Amino acid sequence: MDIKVHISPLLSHQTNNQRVAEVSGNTVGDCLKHLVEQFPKLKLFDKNSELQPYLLISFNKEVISQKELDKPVKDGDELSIMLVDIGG
Amino acid sequence: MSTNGMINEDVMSKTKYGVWGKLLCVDMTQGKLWDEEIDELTFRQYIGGTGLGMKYLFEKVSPKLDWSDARNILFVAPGPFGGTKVAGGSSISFVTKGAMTNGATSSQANGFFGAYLKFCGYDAILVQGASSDWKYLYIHDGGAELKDASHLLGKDTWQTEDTIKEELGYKERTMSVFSIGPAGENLVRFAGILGDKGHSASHNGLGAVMGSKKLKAFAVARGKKKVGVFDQPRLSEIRNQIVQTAKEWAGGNIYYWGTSRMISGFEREGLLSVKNYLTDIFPEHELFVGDRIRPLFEVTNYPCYACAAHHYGLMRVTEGPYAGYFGKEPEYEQWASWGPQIYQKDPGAALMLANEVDRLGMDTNEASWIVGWVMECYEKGVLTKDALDGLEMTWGNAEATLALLKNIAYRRGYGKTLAEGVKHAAEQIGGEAANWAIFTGKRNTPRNHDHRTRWVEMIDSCVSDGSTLETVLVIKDMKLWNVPQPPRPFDPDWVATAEANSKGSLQVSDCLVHCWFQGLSDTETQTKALNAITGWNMSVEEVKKVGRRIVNIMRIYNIKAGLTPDMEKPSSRYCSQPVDGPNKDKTIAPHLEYILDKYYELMGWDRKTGMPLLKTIKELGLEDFVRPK
Repeated sequence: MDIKVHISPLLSHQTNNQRVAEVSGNTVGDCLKHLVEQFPKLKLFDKNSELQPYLLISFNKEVISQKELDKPVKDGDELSIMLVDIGG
Repeated sequence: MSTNGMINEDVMSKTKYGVWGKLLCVDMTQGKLWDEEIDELTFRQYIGGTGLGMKYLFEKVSPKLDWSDARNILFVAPGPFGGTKVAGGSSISFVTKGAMTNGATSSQANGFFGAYLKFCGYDAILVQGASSDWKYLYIHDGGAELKDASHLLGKDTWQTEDTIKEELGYKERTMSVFSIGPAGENLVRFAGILGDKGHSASHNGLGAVMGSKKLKAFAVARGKKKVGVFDQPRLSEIRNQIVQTAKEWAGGNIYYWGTSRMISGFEREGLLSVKNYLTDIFPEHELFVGDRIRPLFEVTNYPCYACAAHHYGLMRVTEGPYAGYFGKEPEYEQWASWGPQIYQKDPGAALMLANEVDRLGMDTNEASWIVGWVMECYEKGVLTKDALDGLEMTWGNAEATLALLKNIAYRRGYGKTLAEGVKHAAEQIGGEAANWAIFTGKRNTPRNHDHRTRWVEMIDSCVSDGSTLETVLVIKDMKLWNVPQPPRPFDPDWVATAEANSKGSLQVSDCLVHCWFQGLSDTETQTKALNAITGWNMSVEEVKKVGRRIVNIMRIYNIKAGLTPDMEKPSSRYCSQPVDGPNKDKTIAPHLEYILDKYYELMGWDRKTGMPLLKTIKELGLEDFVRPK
């Protein structure tokens, strides 16, 4: 399935300034992996293949957890990647 | 031995690893200075920085005293990382009874102070009393002395720093100077202490406390003593780990770009404070981000002691009406305060205002909540040009803003009212305008984000007992602190649990006085570094417990000072529902009581009185703090 991923401006330096990307996959996890294949500088997963703690991933506007990466996707679904970070 | 206000090096402590065991005591009333010992057990119980400060605040300052009473103390300390090569480890913590809440205060600043104090052979400074004439405290290899500061009155924080260095013969980076500006001299409630070219400890009116003692500045020379390290090779490994993690964390934004990149990310998420919360839309956000500004303005990297990050710089504006203005590169809070919050779209003007607030010596957040409120009142006809001493406070008017800020710092005209903080000013005006101001009931100042999109930080602002961030939404190891993942920003249960369970994590950082941007509240790595420096062999659980104890000690102090749970609420504008942006359908108001109830329950505190319950007191060994004296 093909879906859109919206990428936080705070990660755009790792995606050649692209803030929206098209990805393919059967599940949310597949789609995120496809995104990383397109933009290898993007570090969404740690060395244990878990989502980085500073990321907030939403799927059709609902926050999802590591356990929900196997959720199936369909055409028209949307993913959003935000950073949970602080100012200072 | 104390003679004519000077002390000699013959009062020495034994060399220890990471700490000297030496406290510099300063009595401003008598003009006397002397050294006292801090024993190892005390360090293990409180570690340093904020922890040590709270121990002394509790012992020496009755919670019933007013913040401006001469018996209040100003405690200043780094932690055991200070003066070592731990990246970000030489920050400084100030602890006092603060002027906004009249409760416990802990605020930190980066720069060089923490390292240089250790190089002079001290772990901490305790200032008490009040002088009859203005002084500054000069600390060097040979000891310490109080010097006449009458010629420094009226100078801003940058001028004070430069003047002291010149008259004492110190070049740049061979001395750390932290001072108050005119705001602190005039006891503006949210005056701060600033130094080393714009590093700021500004929460809860630290600068007003310093001004009440007629202490203008701390000037600490880069001494020659070397801080002992128990296991240097191990520390070097850990140091490299800390740096590598900081480089990779969250896309390396802060490490490589500073905090300004947050402006765009936050605007997209509805987290940017815009026009006093009247909107969440600010299309001009991209004008302010580091990607654009750093190539455009002239920037020179100006890292803190032992820090390799490219986060902090000095900057010159190169275009627009403020071309040529030179100052520090603003942090996110300052870009947000003097850009979107006052609906001002020129980054050069925002840089100028950020620096002028620093020079005047004020908390940028409280100052911008005030200016935003004034602008809204002006727009709606509640405050007129006459009432504002001839100032046309239209949205984004940078020159009028600067004039108003000076009126506040010097307590002139309407500035005298505003100098008491936005809550006071709003309540004085009354009517509908009182509902437009952004504040907490306790008078902790929120940071410059739209917390209607980040409920956990709104709650933290309301309940914090140190008047600054007590928890961080993002800790390196959420599992260690039992913070459920992933973050669910609008789930009341998640908000209460995350806030309660992470309490102590940032206090650990503040006891070590480890810059969050490097340390990321990574308690496990921080514990390893602490042990490598000191040889104390503390466990992670012991270190966590120190953090939790400090949270509760502050809470006990504040309840005894008269703070009550009903004060731990956001103002109506602060918890209003956004009218636009990505979260316009979200509102915390219906969930507030539930979140606070659950938070208190998880913290083990009595919901009515706010005091930790007996079970909590026993678990954390806090009996001595609740027994009547």
